[in-house]
Amino acid sequence: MTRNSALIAAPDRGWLNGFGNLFRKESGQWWGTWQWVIQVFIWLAIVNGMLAMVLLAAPKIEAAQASHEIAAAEAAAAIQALAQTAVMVFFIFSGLAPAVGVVIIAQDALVGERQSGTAAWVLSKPISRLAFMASKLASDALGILITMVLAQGVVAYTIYKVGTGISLPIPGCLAALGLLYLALLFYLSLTYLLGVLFHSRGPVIGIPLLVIFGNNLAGLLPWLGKVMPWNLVMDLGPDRPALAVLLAQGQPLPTILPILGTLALTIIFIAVALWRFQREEF
Amino acid sequence: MTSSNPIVIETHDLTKTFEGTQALKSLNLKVRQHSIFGFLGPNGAGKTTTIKLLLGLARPSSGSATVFGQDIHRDSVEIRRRIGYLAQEPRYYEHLTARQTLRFTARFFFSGPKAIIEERIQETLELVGLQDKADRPIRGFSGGERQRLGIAQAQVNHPDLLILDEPAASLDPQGRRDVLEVMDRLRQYTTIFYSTHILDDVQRVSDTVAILNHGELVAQAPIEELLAGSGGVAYRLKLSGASQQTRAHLQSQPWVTALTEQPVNGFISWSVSVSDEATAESQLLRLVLSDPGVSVAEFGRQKYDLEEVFLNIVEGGRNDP
Repeated sequence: MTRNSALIAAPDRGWLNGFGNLFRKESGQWWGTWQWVIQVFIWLAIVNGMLAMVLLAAPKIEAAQASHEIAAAEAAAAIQALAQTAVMVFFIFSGLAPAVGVVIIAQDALVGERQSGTAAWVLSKPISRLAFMASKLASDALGILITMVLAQGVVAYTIYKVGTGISLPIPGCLAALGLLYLALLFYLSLTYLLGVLFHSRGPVIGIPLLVIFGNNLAGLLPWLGKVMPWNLVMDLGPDRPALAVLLAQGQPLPTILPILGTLALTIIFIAVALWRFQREEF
Repeated sequence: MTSSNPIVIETHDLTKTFEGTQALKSLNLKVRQHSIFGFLGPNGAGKTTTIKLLLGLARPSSGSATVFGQDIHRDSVEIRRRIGYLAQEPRYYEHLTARQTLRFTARFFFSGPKAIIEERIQETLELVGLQDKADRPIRGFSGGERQRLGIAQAQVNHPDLLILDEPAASLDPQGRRDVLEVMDRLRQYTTIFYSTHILDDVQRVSDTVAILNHGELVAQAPIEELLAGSGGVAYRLKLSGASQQTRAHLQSQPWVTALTEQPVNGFISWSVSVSDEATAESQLLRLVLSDPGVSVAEFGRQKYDLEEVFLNIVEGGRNDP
């Protein structure tokens, strides 16, 4: 029989106790299964599918110009307008559809484990509660970054370039994708917070979905539009264009308040969720 | 296990209140090293609550407790390094296999060497008889197999303390027997604190018992002591041909406090309660046999059935059987 003295005890890492093992297990659910492939293809079909449909108009414009039905300047303006629409469509759909996906993925992280009893089992091992939650947040954040933001961004950039012949500035595009990621992290952290506060799935799914589709509230409560993630990816009126669209096109930002507001709220949600989870009973 | 063994679990007025209802009331408990400590009580008595408090899964409303001399709240992670825990209804990640589950568990305790960790996992699978199903996903496991996996994951770190919450409750007789055998095998290596309401199991493997009822500790004693009864020493005789004269002679002894008689399968059974154990040991049988018409078929100290003790305590709400 092997003795404990023959084994190397796991080191004491304070609040990170168990993080590595938990993160490996959580990541395994993203990358060790078909989960990542499914996520990539779902958002490819919805977000980039929509982008491709918009850009299908481009060959028609070029054909019209080639057959002298419209002038070259007119065609160039039409292509520019189409390109502008395409970028807007990409960010609007990325800010809505994958956000719903984030909520669906994240709602199960805590509620599911609590209901199934696996949380109590894992927490009976020598791990910190912070590590338990942080490992889930970190693996989901990484999965979202790769499957919903970077993969879609690369494909969208390629489709856009092929469709319009226009090369968007890469730093601007990366910054714009960063804003999209921030918006998705906002929904991720909100869903985690609700997963700690509520023990049933209804409010944990329902409240973030209301927030995702609550951009119309910005018209009624303008201050809300300044701190919520809506303006990061979509227009909130003629004078408030989507910040990600501006960045992708290399234009200056009129304000960074929505970025700071979303970032602050995301940090607050995570901090409150971690604090509250420390006091949770199983 | 002896009374000189160090104390592994000690609680001081440990109390837990849920929304105004006291689930646990000022529990004072001592569990010694290398004991198999049966924590008995009807459903809702507070057994699982106690276990969750010890594991840091819930917080005490008042009172305190130590495990290995460390505070259950402040030093929870340190304590859990030395504990193995089986929940009442064990739940695992269904997509993992038994081996993957043990590997996942073992990594919380050990960082290497990999080969020895794998060896430990294999040994643990063999201990619970799951080696043939080690690489199948848990979702296909029966209740008994899940329970055995539960013991395996609790044991994979060779803990100093095993906490088992109703380890045999959901098992068929064969599964129960297997689990009790595993517990018995582990006795030499670890302290086992387990909750149950199956009295037979307690009587078979436990050396110390605590009985909890409505959140209160109503008895705690070595099982032999509990079964002997704490309401005074009594002896049981199974005899034939006993005369009223012998009985009266016995009842006249100053150290005999009570004598009850009942017929059993053609014999007469006497239960003789005494106030002086030493005198009774030397005199009782001698006095009875001094009557040449009496034959004694059985003689011994009165023992109670655990069920009898348990029901007396739980239903009577008193400490002595």
